[in-house]
Amino acid sequence: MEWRYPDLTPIRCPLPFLDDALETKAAYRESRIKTYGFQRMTGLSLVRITVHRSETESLGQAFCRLGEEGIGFLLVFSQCRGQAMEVCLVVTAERVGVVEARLGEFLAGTDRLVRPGVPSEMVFFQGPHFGDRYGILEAAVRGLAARRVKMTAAACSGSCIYLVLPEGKSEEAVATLSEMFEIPRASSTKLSTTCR
Amino acid sequence: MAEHKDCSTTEKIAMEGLKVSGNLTLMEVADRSYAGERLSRMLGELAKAGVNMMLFIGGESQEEIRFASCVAASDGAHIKALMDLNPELRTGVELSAAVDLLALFPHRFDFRTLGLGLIALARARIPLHGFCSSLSAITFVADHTDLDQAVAALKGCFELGVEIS
Repeated sequence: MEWRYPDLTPIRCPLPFLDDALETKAAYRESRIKTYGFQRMTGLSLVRITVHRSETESLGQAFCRLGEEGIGFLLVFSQCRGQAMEVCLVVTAERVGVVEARLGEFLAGTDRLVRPGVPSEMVFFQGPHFGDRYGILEAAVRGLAARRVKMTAAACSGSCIYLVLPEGKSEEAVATLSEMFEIPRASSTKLSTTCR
Repeated sequence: MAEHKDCSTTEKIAMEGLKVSGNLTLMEVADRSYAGERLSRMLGELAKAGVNMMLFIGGESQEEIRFASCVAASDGAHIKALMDLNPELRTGVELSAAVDLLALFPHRFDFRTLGLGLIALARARIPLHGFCSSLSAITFVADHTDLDQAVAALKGCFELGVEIS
């Protein structure tokens, strides 16, 4: 069964106990996609590492050491292509030196490439049932592309969408996204730079 | 190379749980001739087809655009149909065999949780297609054929409160 209305952002809810043919779809009446507001973070660094997949354990050890030193991350994501694993870490700019150092120590002698951290900013946001709905990341990417706001990376799993942007671009990104998405009246954008 | 104690020598870390999402297909795109609009166009076509992405990881470097997305296996046919209708979107697209998402929560933005997870999966010889953090979970992408071993490997390292699948 399916109910569709024009100009909506639908939610799709497959029911696992039913046959695929009986998938149920419902839709919100939303002219603009609702969010709970935008979080903006500045003073960050994006570190990219490429390692051979066989070095996953060494990479894990480097991360363990960073954790024991009390260093946290803001966002991590990784993709593999063939035998190469590219890992992206978003950390605060003041921590990037120690992150690069530990990666260098633990991955010494391996076939790896640690690119110097790039000054970056981040915007992330959530909304009702974002994890179950389609078209939300698309709306964000389309809006940014229309205003020529360059995005370095995007990651989403679960209900939160993260956008990594070049230094100095997050404010413009939030302004653009605020035209595309509905935000609560009480809270709009929160700026944060705090992190371990 | 530096040495480090790991989950074989320390107590298990208590986590609230592990959520497994299955019956998924991984779509990977790598394009060196990226024209600037392709990501937006591709996402637009997927949205029009009603394809929800359980996970999306995308990045752009000077050399190329690359992104990976996990969609319901039943949407694999939608994506193939899109590629047939729009041959220009087909460049560099690979659809993999079945994958699962294993989401460990909460990560508390702690590198140690991520590191121990990677060590556990590497020692169990589970090849990963990728991983990604969200506000609360670290999600690993693994082949469906490796699901049981991957869950066992993570259980060997973490004390899991609940398992959701």
